[in-house]
Amino acid sequence: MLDTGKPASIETSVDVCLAPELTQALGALAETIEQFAASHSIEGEIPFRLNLVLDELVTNSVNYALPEVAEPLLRVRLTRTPHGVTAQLEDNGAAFDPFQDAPKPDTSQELDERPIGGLGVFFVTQFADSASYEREGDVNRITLRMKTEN
Amino acid sequence: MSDQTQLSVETEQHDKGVILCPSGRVDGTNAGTLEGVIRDQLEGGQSVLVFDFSGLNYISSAGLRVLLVAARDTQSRGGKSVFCGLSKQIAEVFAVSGFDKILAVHSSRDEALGAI
Repeated sequence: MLDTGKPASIETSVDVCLAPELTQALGALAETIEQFAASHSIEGEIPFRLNLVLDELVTNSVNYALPEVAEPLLRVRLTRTPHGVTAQLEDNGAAFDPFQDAPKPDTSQELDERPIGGLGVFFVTQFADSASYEREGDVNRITLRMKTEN
Repeated sequence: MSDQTQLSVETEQHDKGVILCPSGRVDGTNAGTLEGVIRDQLEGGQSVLVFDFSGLNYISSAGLRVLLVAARDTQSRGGKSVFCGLSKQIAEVFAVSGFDKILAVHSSRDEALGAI
């Protein structure tokens, strides 16, 4: 990247391991996001959206990926960037790319036709400004970016 | 004051149906609680459900799934489900999921009751 001559941006992160149990994991996630948002001036709709998309991914990991793992790992890292926030979620479940492998809902379907599932990953793709998946060793890593107004 | 990180569901009987007021959060840990309250009402003979979300500050896809099932179940019993009191964030979740098109969302409880 080009050096623009601006002072180095202040990037601060929080890194939290979540218990592979849904009540504890979602409780810790909500608390982490609330504190991180408050201490890094992340305002407006962003904390809610961040909580929602990470909730959906954590719920999938805890319910589907991690029960198969002897020593489950689940961690989230939040990083404040200039004009944004980056969230990374890692688990050591079987390789699964939700952006390729999960079915996509048709949000124009009527009440009777609408399938019951499939919204969680869709929310991630709709609310995050970018979302990517990579597999490194035995770890699934999802990286999300959301822009902020400040 | 209810704990904003948990879910509690109050019910109020109304001559047009039952009003369900969930407060706090609905996610994958407690969507079954909301589902249970709805099931009890349906089994008790109710087929009109009014969801007043004034006290609800969070809902994930696990909660939306319960609402979708409730809307279908009431419809199949000749009744309906109506929704009101959505926060800005929850209204956005409804819009993104397309639920604002398939569920009857109203701006106030009076309007929701009037639509039954």
